[in-house]
Amino acid sequence: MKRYGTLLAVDRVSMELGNEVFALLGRNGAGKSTLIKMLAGIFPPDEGLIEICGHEMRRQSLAAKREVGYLPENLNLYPRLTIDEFLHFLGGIRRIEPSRRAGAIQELLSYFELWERRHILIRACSLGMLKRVGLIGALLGPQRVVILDEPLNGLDVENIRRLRQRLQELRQQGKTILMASHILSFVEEVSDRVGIIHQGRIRAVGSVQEIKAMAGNRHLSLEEAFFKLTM
Amino acid sequence: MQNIWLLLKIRCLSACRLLRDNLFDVLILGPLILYGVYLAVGPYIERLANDASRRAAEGWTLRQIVFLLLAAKLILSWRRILEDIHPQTGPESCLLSLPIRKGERYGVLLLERWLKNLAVLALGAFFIVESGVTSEVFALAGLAALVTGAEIGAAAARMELLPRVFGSLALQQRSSRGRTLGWVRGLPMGLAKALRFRLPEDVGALVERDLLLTFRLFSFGVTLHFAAALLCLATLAHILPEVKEDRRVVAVVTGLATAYGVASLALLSPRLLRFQFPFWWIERSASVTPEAIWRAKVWHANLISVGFALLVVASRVWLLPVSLTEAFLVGIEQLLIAILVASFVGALVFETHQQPWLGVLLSGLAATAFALMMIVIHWLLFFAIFPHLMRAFENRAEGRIRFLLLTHDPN
Repeated sequence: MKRYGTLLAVDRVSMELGNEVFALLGRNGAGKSTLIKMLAGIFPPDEGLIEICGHEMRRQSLAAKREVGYLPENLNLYPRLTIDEFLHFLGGIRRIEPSRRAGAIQELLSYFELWERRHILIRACSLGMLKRVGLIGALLGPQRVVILDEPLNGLDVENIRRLRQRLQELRQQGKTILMASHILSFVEEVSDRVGIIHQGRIRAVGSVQEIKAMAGNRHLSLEEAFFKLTM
Repeated sequence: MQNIWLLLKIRCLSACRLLRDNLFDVLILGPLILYGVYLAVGPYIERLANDASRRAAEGWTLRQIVFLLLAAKLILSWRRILEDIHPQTGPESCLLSLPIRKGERYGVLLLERWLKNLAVLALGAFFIVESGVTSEVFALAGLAALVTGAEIGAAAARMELLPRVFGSLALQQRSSRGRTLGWVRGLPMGLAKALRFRLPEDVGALVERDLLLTFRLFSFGVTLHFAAALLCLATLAHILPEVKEDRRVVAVVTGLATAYGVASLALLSPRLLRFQFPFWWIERSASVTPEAIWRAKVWHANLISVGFALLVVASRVWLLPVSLTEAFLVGIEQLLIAILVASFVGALVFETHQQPWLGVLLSGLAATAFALMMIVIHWLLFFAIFPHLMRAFENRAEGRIRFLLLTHDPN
């Protein structure tokens, strides 16, 4: 549970994620980002527990955070570091051995077409480049949970395709991916389960087909089902 | 330990690049201006230091005076430290989700704050050594370290301890910072409404936005501009009683205090423009004319600074009582000096926003020249200088704005 003054941003949310891609859907102000920030260890919950891979976030925050890669919705990265320096910094903090770190960074930079531009300052990056840097930061390392808040903003079609492929690979590797997005077609395509959050409470959790069934008709589109469940 | 080195490394890299980007300001313009200021007000600062030493003998210890200064610094930097501890908006916000121990983050923060406080320490030590009280230097060093510990300790208690004791109270209060204070909105809107009959709709909207951002302290530096203006007022109050016999000197001192105070406040305009530049897509997409943009900046510079002239007049009348007619004439004179200086600074905004030290230098020189001209010759000179100056700057500024609108798109 989380309050901001009198506003109850997240209210008695209880869920368990496994090896899957889980998409969190909700209107603006529904509590998605607050929930995600609590899961990433940025805010502590006012009440309740968050456990990441067996580590309780408040008591074992260091161990819990080692298991999480996080992409915030509003990216604000060090403007006077180059892309390469920033990623090496993240790799260092996550204790990736220097010999493996360079290779992992090169692989991800090449995958998201940033290898040639790795030496430019972050302040000179376009929105799309910045988003890719943030994504690489979230994916870099051995963490078992990846949390992505609005990962598609600013990405072009090609990079959305690459991200989709990478998410599927990560799921096959046994990782857990939690993402919040408003792009329902993408959600429908990549996610195993969907959670719909409304006014801080989880209204429905299940596969896309189950969500449609909960809305009363399996032939509805996800968008129509979403509106029915959040009315 | 490895994390501490990594955090220090990225801070050093960022600081070095910031320095490299501002090399000209730091190595040439900055020292030039500091030397100019030292030549102009050095004797008065020396006198203030001597006063402080004398007060020390009369009961106020030098340590108490320094403690007061450092306490003021602590209060001024409070919000910054809270943001440093729990970063929510800046690049540091990414650190909260990373596996970094709190102790490591606090360690780096302590070192960083201590280095920043070292500047205050060095300045304080300089004056203390100058005053011959060398034994106090070490006490001051200890005090500065104590203040660093106190400011981090107080902020840590606010962010770490309070939420545990009072549940979510601390974060609630902090999140309420996002709400706006009524007067912060009321004052600029009132000013904008009052000017509506005088200003076109687009200029009025730009001025209102600029005033709102200024009164919401868009940057920590805003307080420094206000502090500089207050310093001018304090210096005036310090000097006036000593020169009260010579009316000419009184007039010059008053005029210079107005000019420098107004200049320091009006210099908020280029600072604001620098802050706004990443958001210039608004001006670009709203197809505001260059003339409207320029006029808005000149109005903004005037509105935030000209009121200072009234403070100067009030101080002078309070310290050296004069007749009502004379007070009125002094008021007119100071007001015209203020308008001339503020308009000059506002008109040059598009030349100086990327070179803040150049702005300080030009504004300082112009403020001195305008104040001396209007006091030594006559304030009626305003009506000869002002229209000519504005016409000349308007043509130049419009070309410059058109260039900036076309070429500098950070988006």
